[in-house]
Amino acid sequence: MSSGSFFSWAALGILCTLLLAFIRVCRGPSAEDRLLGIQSFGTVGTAVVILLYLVEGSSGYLDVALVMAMLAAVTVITFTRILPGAGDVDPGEAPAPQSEPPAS
Amino acid sequence: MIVFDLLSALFICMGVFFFFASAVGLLRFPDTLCRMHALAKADNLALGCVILGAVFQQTDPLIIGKLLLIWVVTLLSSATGGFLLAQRIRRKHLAQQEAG
Repeated sequence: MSSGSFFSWAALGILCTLLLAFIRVCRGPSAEDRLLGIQSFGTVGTAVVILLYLVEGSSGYLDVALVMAMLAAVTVITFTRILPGAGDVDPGEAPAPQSEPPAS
Repeated sequence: MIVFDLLSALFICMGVFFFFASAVGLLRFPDTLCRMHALAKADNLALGCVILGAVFQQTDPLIIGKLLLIWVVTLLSSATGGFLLAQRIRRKHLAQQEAG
């Protein structure tokens, strides 16, 4: 087996775990569970792009992986800080004490 | 360089295994905090294994540094996201306790 096809099969196996995470995103009882699934999409996508870099050898893939790793944090920060009422809205939930008001 | 190829294959297979473990944990664990525990540990370990396997294929120090930088950025973003999400869940539990 050539090394390129080995890396392709490994990327395919990692992509199959995305399906399992997608089940959790579909039926997660709370919005935080769905967000956890989305967070795993970031990590899995980074690993798949790195394996694609090993197959193709073009160094642009590494920049894509770097950007995906950085954007994984942005979703969580947006969910928890900038949109404090997004997802599950609890009537008794106090507003976040140290959150900055959104710049408008 | 057959040794490096074997090490690379070994680490990438470990990465695939840990990705499966993290997905199964995300699917099977009963609580949101338990799921976060499975995801934060196993996913980052799996990505580290895949990156280590990729490092064994490279000779250029610039590429190796970039691969390691990807792992460090992922660790930092996972730590930040885990803290923020756990804080939000805890605040929600406290609000539920006060309400009921």
